[in-house]
Amino acid sequence: MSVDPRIAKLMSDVFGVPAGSIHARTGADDIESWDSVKQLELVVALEGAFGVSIDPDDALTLDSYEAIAALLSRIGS
Amino acid sequence: MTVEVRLARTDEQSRVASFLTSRMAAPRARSFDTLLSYSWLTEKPNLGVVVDDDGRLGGFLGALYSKQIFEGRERDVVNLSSWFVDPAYRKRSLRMLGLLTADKQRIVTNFSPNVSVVPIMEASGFRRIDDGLYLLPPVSGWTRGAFGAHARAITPDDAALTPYQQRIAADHARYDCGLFLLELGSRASLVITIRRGRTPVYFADVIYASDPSVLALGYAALHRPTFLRHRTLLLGIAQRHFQRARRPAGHAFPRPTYVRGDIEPTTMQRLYSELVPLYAAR
Repeated sequence: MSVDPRIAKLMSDVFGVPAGSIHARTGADDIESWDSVKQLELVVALEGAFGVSIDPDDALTLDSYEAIAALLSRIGS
Repeated sequence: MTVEVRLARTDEQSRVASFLTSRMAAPRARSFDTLLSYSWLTEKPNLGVVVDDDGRLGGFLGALYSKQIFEGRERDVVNLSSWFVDPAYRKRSLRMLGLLTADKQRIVTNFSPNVSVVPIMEASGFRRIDDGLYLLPPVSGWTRGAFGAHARAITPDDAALTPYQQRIAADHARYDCGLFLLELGSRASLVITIRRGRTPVYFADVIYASDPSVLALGYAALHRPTFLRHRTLLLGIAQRHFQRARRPAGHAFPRPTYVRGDIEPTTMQRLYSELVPLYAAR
């Protein structure tokens, strides 16, 4: 599964890790700086970059690249 | 290493209480055990959510369940309390919350968010009430039309109460709560109070008024019975119960509240909240 460079860039910016380190199976456990506040920052960044509105219930579950990509696909961005 | 975010079973009460006691301040030594033992539900669905790291607790988010009536309909309510996650597990905090908010029929409240929880509440569908608290001295209220009001201590089976009011009065009478009937003309309000605060300043916090408008008009009549019940001269009443023109003089202490669900947030009061077992356990 290829990685969407836009998502990788946002994760890189929010978590302060190299974009190249983001892969399809990257999750919260793989990124030291990932915490609840950073995750919410990422949600805001995703909404801005993709022009979508993310349901709060979905926001609570976005703790991996896979979950983010699946959600964006589902809500049609 | 297997780290799991899961619902906390009721048989885990003592280890959860130990976890909280070692990490959070509480009003009394056995507070968390008392909190988790809240008495108004005999069969609790769970205690909340834990982070379980191969049998070791890494976090807890407490859930106090209750059934309350809003707009004539009985609803399931869960009040969040005592959220602590060890730093190593904080990337799982949102998953913890998600387990308790997944049921959209359920109303979720948080009456005591700390500063680190506020952004999470704001981003996860909770609505905020800026619910200031007036601490009113005995001289307060007598010039504002309270002369016609009368308050008396009651028991849960008082005939003036509706069956629902009798039920919530009985649930809170198991704790050291004050139960009063505040009457103003032909109107009456059940008022439930607890004693809160820290030495030397205690106050009688009104956690429920079945008719907040009666409370706002006639609260002065509550000073004497609440003094007799709680031995404090200060009466704490939520700012939102007062219409703007009738707000008492003085400072309202900030007290943000968060509510998630399909009710008007300002109809939520602090019944069945963590305040009751934490401050009013006998």
